[in-house]
Amino acid sequence: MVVDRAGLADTVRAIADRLGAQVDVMAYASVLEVLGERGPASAAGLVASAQATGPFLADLLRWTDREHQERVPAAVVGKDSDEEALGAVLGKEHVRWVDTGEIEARLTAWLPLALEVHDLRAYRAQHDAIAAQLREARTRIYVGEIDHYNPPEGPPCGPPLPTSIEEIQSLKEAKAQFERGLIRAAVRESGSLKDASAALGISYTSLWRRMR
Amino acid sequence: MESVLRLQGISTDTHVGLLDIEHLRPLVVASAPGANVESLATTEAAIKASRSSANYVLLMDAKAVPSFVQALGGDPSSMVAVIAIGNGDGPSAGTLRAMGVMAVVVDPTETSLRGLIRRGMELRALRALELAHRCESRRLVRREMDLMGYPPETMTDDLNTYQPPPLPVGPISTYNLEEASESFERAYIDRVQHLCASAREAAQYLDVSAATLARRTRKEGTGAINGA
Repeated sequence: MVVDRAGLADTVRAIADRLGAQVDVMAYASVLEVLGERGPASAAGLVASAQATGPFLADLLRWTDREHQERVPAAVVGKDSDEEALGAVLGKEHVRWVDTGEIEARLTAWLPLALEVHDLRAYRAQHDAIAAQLREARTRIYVGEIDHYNPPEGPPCGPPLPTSIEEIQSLKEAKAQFERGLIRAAVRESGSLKDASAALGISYTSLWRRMR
Repeated sequence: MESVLRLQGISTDTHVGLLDIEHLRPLVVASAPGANVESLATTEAAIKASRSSANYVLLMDAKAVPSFVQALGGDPSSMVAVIAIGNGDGPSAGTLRAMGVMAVVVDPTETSLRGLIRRGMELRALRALELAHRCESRRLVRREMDLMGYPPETMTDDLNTYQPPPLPVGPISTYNLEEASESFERAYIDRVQHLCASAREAAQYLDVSAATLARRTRKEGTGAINGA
């Protein structure tokens, strides 16, 4: 989501295209449009120009500052001399300040971060949903309501760290479990085995052998 | 079930622990084909099996259940499937169920035990999968906090709870196998060292030699994290 009256939305679109990210850029001209009744409920990220938001920047940032696991990653573009805008950003960990002189470079660094936070949340929601399903199935098996349950495949998981001596696995087993999940994660992100092997820093043949 | 466990790297080996019912071993072996049937000499051994990461089902004499539940410190149903055998002069079936026992069998037969053991294995496997998903979810939260910044009330300086990163997600994570694997190994060794009384004991549990562990600890600087 971009709040600006100049060409900031186009800049964000161009950066997203360059990074190969599929981003739906929603452009707004004022804070009122965002906070009004027809404004969006949320967004994966916010880029706002201090010039367009004016004295309402603090209200807009309050809108992004939700429960800490739902905060909207934000970037505020302004001049370093704009003390009022800087004051509104101060202390907000999820908001990055972008000086007007380095918009391109700073937003190119910020956008992947916002995308990663979006992905993290999407996968976390999947993990939580599957865990809830498994818990329910476990209860039903315990009371004898069902004898068998086919669990969903789900996104890859790393092995939990042991919390007691009895839970300790051999280092070899634990590492093998971790690497299996890592390889699945790389394939998920890259979309092809060739790209995944490059990301993992191993040869295609080695990846193929490990996957077998 | 097995394919999902394998996909997540969780062992599909199955174990049946017997406590105070050694005379039923032949029947249990016949009822649980493919499982390792192990005699557990003491309640402590049964507790250890319950808390292990292996896929266990426990079969025990009904009279042994109260002391087991007490030593476990709570309801076993969330941890392991317990099947109590015979309740002639022990606690009633209702009492045993209330204690968290999955099933009570008065006259065990191969057919009745087979179904129950399979159910118990499913329960334990689902627990392992659930734990893996919950832990991954927690790690993803930590990663998000790392990226977004910690709100002041959640800041921590507890260096002893060093956690590995979650499996990578999104465009800026590191996918490099060697780097990520080393990071995980560091966290795993660190945690095991916290749980064990000595480096020798940690090496035993990790199934590596003391010299190998010392070398890896030195290389990875886990000793510094430990404050050792």
